[in-house]
Amino acid sequence: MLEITYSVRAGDIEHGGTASAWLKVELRKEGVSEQLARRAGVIAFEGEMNLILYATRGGTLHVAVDDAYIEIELNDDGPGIEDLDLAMTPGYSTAPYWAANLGFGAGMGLINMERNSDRFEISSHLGEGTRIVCWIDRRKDDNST
Amino acid sequence: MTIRLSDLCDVLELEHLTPILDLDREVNTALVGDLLSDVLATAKPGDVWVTVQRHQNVVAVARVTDLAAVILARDVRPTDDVIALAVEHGIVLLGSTAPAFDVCGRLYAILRGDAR
Repeated sequence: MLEITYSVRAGDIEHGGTASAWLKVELRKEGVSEQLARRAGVIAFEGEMNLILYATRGGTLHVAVDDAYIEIELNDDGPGIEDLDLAMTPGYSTAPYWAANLGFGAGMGLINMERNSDRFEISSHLGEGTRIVCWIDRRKDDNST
Repeated sequence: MTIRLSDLCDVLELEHLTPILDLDREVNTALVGDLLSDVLATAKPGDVWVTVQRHQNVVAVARVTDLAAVILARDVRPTDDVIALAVEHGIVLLGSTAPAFDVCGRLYAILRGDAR
């Protein structure tokens, strides 16, 4: 059983992905397979970048692992997403120009998170914030190396 | 076929920007792109990634996806702090003066072409 919470600062592009890369190492130490650790890393990376690029005050990345699931939860307190269907549309992005120049804002982040999850939940309210929870089912792991 | 990173460096005349790291990994596939989410979605462990992005997040992407190396095309140079980060985490950075198109063309010929 592993449980970690990372604080992610708004605008901290420089450290973007650091927590995710570290998480992957921690998951491997915990006995999680390379394949699942990688999926968790991708989910966390996209979530981390979303907090950095879009959340007004940053947010938290919380990871809990037990024998059955890897649970990755992202929380922020704003600004919130007005139209979730639109936000989940491949290619849709509100990334600023400077972020696009760095290779972010392809409109693929949330999609990548969903595709790498066995279960994916997102809820958001304008002015309140966004909560995303992704679960990876370790029992479905077909590659336990 | 597969090719060892050190041999790839010789054939493609790549500059090893992280020379303290070993070039002994075998490569059999590659990908090209500058959108990080696209790389996260498609990269396979051991891939070589051809890009013109050169910031710190490139190292993070390479770590998460377990890439064999990143080839920075068109003489794009990372800053010293990015190189230091790559070395710290064992991510091989290789530099090419050729544009990404030419790097990929030659990579494709090596990895996917016939043996002639």
